[in-house]
Amino acid sequence: MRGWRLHRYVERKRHVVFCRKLLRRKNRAKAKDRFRALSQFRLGKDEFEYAVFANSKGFQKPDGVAGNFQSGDLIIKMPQVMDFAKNYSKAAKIFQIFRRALLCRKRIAYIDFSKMKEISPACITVLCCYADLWKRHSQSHRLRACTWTWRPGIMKQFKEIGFFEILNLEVPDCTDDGQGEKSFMGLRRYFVDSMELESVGKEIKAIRHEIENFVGRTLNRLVMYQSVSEAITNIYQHAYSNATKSLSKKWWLSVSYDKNDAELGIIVFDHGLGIPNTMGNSSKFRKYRDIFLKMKTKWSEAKRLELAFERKRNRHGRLRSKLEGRGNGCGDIVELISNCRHGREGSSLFVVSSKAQYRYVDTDVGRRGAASANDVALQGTLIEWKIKL
Amino acid sequence: MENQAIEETVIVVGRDFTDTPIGRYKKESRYSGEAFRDDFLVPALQKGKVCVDLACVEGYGSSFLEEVFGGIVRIHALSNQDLKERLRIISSDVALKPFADRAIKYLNDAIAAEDVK
Repeated sequence: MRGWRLHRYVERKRHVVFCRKLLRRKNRAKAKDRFRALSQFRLGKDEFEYAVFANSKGFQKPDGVAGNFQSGDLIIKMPQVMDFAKNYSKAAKIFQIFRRALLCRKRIAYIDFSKMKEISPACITVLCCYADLWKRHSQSHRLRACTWTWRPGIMKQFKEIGFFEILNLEVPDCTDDGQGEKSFMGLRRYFVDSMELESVGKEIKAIRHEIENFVGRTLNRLVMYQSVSEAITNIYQHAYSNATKSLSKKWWLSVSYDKNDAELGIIVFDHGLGIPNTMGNSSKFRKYRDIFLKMKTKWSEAKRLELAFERKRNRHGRLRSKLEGRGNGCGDIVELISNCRHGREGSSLFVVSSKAQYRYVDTDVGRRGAASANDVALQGTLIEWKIKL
Repeated sequence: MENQAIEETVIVVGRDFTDTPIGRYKKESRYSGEAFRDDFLVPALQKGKVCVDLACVEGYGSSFLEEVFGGIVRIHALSNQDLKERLRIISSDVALKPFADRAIKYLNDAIAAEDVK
């Protein structure tokens, strides 16, 4: 068993293990629901806003779309605005439906981009990653882009990031001059297995040169290398730590630049376990977990994420980590914002990992970071640096 | 004073090792902290005094610096007293001075942690 099949097998196994746990806790109803969800793809009550089945009432095939939709085919409807900062739940819900459909082998027949007016660089990056999975999943299907239904500004962004190349589609002509829109340097896809960590350093150096040519400004190379290299080192060390060897492990990097606002965005994304899940059960943070449980405070994913990003030392000068010298990595990720001002204030770091998010902002009042819990989980870790130049 | 200058080996990380150091352990990367410590720093320290110049690099992640300078205390290649006498950490590039300070901090933290044990 290899590739996508193996990935699905591992995911199903994880669900089954969870169901057994629920049964042991005598929570039969919950376990039953979970098994049902596993065997059959269904949309939740609140999910019909984002997706419909082809045979459902009121569904009309879009004009000019060729091919027959089979009964039960899934149609995903993209919202008008897709931005983690403006409406996290909406964007995350779409990705969750996407992922569930792929795992349950549900055929996604059509993705409707016609309503979309705005998409953030982080969302477009994650969407491209899911498109990559979709392509692998639907190898037998011929994919087609109905770009005549898209807005020109949106099409330009998808073209620049390389969405059409990912899906092996013909790249459309784009007449939009893109004024007032974000421009992308492109999306890079890397495989953990085939690209050694030692080559990542050279790659970051090359990307910095490209960014400098792209934005026409010199960046602080030291802090950029420190933050980006630590984010990627974490992927190699932790993100896919429990994955099977032959399972395809990837990470993506994209760079965007908003000309109007002079804002540079660097995004790193992986499909791994997520920061709270890799640190929560390790020996490093057991002491803190015990303290929280003693205080009857919930040892939540948000709390774990916040602890990971804060640099705190005990009385011996050692970091929180029980393993000596460990636990600095996430602190380094913040450095690009906290330790360096490239231009104006207002730079920020945004991290989404599993069911928690962490935001660090550099404002005129001061610099501060805070974590919060999300109602919808995003598989993996997304790190976005927004740098005001 | 002249004798001291002759005996001291100077290792410039960017020139003698790599300009893109990354990773903590050898199994992860050829340019990791463990590789630099075991293949460059420890052999040089066993011969005499060493000055590590952190210049000529793209940057440092804390995992690299911690593994080199915290790790050298933990692996007990030299006694803490010998380490303090023989190892000097500098940066001829002013921009990299904060990394030199951080490296010294990792070294001192590891020595303090060993003393507590």
